[in-house]
Amino acid sequence: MANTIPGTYPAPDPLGVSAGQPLDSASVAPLFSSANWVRAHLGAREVVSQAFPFTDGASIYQDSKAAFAGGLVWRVPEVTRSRTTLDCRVYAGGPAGSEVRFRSATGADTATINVTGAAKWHSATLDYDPSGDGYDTITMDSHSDGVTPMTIESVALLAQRLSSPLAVGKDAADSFVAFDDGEYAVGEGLSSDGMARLRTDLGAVRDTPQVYVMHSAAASVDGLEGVLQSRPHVWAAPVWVASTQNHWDLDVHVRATGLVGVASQVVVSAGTRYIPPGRVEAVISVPSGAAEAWYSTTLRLVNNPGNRVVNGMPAGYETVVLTVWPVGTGWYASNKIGLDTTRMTTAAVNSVCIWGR
Amino acid sequence: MSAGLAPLGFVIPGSQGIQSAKPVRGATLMGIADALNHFAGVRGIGWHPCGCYSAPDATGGDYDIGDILDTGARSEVIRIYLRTSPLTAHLALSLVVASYNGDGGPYAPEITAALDTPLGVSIDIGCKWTRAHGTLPGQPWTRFDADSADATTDWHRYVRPSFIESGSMARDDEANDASAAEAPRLLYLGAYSGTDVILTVTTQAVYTVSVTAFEYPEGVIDHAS
Repeated sequence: MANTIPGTYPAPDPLGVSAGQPLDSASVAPLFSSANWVRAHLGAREVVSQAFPFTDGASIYQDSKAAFAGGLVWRVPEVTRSRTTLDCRVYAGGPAGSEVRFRSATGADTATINVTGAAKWHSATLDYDPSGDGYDTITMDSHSDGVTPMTIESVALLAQRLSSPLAVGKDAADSFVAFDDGEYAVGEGLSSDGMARLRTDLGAVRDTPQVYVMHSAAASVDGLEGVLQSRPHVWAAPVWVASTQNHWDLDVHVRATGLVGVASQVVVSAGTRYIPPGRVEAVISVPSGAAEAWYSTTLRLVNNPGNRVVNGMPAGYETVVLTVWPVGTGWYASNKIGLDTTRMTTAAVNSVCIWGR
Repeated sequence: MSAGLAPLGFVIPGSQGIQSAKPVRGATLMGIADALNHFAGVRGIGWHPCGCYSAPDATGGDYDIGDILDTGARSEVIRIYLRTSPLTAHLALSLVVASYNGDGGPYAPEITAALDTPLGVSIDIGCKWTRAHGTLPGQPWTRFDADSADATTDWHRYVRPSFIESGSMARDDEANDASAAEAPRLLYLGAYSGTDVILTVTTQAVYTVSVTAFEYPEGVIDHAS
């Protein structure tokens, strides 16, 4: 029999397997079939989502180049184990010959979409390979006919759901072993081996990264800068902590460029507000004059790390604010009055990618 | 199911409780069930963050939000592609936005959020945040000079973004109304849960920093009719 993914979530009832209850197949089997379901669905959503608002009747992403150059760059983690394909979606349009291209660095794949015509959603798939470092670097760029600009209003990269049947045997990426349909049906014994597999599988699912921030500046696009703009960049993020932990770790990946003649920094903060200082800050030093490069660090919140930034969440669903606020150079200060700018970002930031577990 | 779908905490049982020759304990099995339900119902529901770009201030060439908002009755259309979980039928929103209040300002800030399929079929006509109904906070439309060198020509306004939310109220009956509801509420996926959908946020006189959509856990929703 195949390692089928149930069509609907076969929610196991904790009380049905509690002490004093008979150990029957009807109560135990959902533990195993739901493991297959969770593995197939967890993480299957956007890993990149970025909008270029259609502002005052015009797209702000207008690219009139005749050839690919610049673009947006993200580091995308391994969000659905053993999945190696991303769905690409872009809302774009332009004159004849306009194209949008997605490329994966370690996946060594390219997906090019012709977006000629009125703006609409276009799709493609892109192979990626995050197995080495835990992420792959994805680039999106575009071009027009060299005269009339093409436009982009939105881009999304999405992880796919796994499909039935799940692979047989241990997955090389994370040791997950799918369960067979009838493995714990009536008449089948409850084995120590099966329980050990289930425990290992839960660990693999727990370690599936959750993407919180994926934001890139657009380089070589008419009227847009290749760095994050000098304003607060703010995202709400859920805090998911195992009961056995008192901390919550975020992987922070920043692509930045140093300022000429002066050392600079990128400050990524987490807390209850975006006004500096944050409750916790990751400070990345960027040397004077450093060329564009990726920097990585970890942001750890300890001791009851969650707060209630998003008040509308149900009780117990905690959230924090993640912020990157470049102070910029040569810009006016009306949004910075009273702020401690020494706790803000001074480097030129090209990309911010944050995920956690 | 007699227990909640989405326990807020989880503990993966230790290895000793699953060894051969050990008794099968209820606590071990319950812990596994809780953990699975947590992954499906808490982590498995979608958290959809989307960062928004903006064009620079047309006059200053910078990204001073006050200046950008001051350039006219600014409008935005923000399109966001979402892949939703099949375990929830409601979508909540948290937006980071900036706007002026009514103290001398010339504009009437407003935000509308709606759901469609990728092919343009309406799923939920949407809801609004407005100044008139007190659901869209703003800041004073006062100005100051931050640069004394050109005090006579270069005035700037003070504005910082705020968080606004959809809350936890479900009004599924409003999803098919002729126009968007005046009060914020959960957007209704209904039969489209588990599919790809388009969230469209339309604004007037508002600067949008980011939009986060999250699928609201079923079972903890306030229903009204």
